[in-house]
Amino acid sequence: LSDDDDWELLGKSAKGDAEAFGTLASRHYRPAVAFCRRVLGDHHGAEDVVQRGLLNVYRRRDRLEPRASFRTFLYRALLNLCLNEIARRKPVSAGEVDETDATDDAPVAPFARSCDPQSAIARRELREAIDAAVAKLGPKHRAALYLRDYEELSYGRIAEVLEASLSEVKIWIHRGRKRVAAMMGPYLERGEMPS
Amino acid sequence: VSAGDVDFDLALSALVDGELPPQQADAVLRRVADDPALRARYETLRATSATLRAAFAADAASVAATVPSAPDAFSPTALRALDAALRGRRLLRRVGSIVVFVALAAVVAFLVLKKSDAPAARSIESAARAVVEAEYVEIEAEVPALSMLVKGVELRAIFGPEGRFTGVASLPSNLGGGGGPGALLLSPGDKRLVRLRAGYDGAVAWRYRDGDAVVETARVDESERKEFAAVVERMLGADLLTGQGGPSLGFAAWRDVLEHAAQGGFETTALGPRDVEGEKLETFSVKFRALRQGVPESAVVGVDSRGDVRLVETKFVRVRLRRTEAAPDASVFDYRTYAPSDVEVVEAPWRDFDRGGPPTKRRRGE
Repeated sequence: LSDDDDWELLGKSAKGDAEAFGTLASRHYRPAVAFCRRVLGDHHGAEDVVQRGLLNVYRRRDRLEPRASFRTFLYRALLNLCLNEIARRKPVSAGEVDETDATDDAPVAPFARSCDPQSAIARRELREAIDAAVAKLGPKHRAALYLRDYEELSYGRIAEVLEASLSEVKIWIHRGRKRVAAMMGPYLERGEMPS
Repeated sequence: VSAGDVDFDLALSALVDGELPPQQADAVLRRVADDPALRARYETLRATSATLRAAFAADAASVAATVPSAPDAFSPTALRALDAALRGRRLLRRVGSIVVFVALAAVVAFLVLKKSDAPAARSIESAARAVVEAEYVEIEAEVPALSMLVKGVELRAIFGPEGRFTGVASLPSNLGGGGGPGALLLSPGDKRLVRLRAGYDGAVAWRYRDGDAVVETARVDESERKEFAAVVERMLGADLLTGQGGPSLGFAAWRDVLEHAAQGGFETTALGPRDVEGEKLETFSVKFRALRQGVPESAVVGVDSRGDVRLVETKFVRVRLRRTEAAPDASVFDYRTYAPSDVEVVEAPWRDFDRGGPPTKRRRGE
């Protein structure tokens, strides 16, 4: 399905086709929840943000102009909602990396390994270690890594979503990876992957 | 870590993501192939990217397993209900806007009307007060030459319940070819004249202060205008013009007296007390030198115990005032009502009055 299909569905919805927006929502709902969950670090909060974001789109559906990518447009709106939600909840925690001050040389403590990697417990531990490592990053680092490594968006598209320059995106992705690599060092050396 | 290392690390990350141009990618790959340390960094970045991808994919799988493809909020029924609610809210907002607009417009209109009324009421009040409380008020007559100044206190006495006509001369409405009724007020304690006129829009008064004419218009409401007109009527109906201790005459005669006074004065002779209509008056005989038609030859006036003077008898033929047809360069006369020796003559061209300036004064014989 292309972006054209998305905008077409939105156009039909604006003309009174109630089914069309349901189709559009179901197309993007789950990926959007996964994205927001990574940015927010909270599943229920992510669902709430995505529902609010999609309803905002629905209210404005007759005033929106088709753009290059509906997904980029939607994720940008969702990211803004996420950032507002994060700002509303609490200030940046001490352990969280802010996009503006992170450097490649910032000290990062690796996670200790205490369990047998072959066991289920070990796999859960690995997942938790990755979640914790990603959670230590700033929200825009998290968003950039997710959009690149899972959604496989180009740097240009990521820059559109994050409303940032290409250089910033490049730096955020690289630093995010380096910090995760530093924290996940023991796991990476063994070539372990989360299941 | 040098700046070059950082730049190269960024290039390594971009290489992992396939975001390097082909030439630069080849160059970076050659260096990675030649340098084990660089290759290790490159592999770490690739492994991290793969790890994250796997973690995010696990995320997506978890979401797919636990989250519906789209919640009920996006079902057609829910969206139609949302549309209805939004339409209702829009309608309410529009109605609210209209109500607020109408209320604001009403408030603005009320304030504007109130503002437009308030200064008018204040200006009437302040102008009337200024006239009445003025030290001297020039009251406009139909003929500018007949204007007078009167002290504010006298004007208040005239308008008040105990008002007397002391020092007031009446002016027929047809005098001077002008419109409505006018009156002359004479200040007994002052030599200056007063002009007074009742117009359609109220009293018009001129007052002099320190030799400069200040024109003031006292616009009065209907009841005040009627009261003012009644005062003028009373003055018009007055038989006598009174002065302190001097002779008093009817207005028309008075004008001739003044004209003759200007030409040489007149004579008064005490006649002693006489009963006039049941009241004892001290009477005087006033003789005029002019014997032309329309000018009284003589009169007998009486002064009562209050100092008011009444005309007892006179030989009027017919009164006609030459001043009303005066040429622009003719002289005008100012006077007092006392003895002939006290008469003051003021001469000034008509145009001086037209310009609102005070007349040039000179004493008789100067």
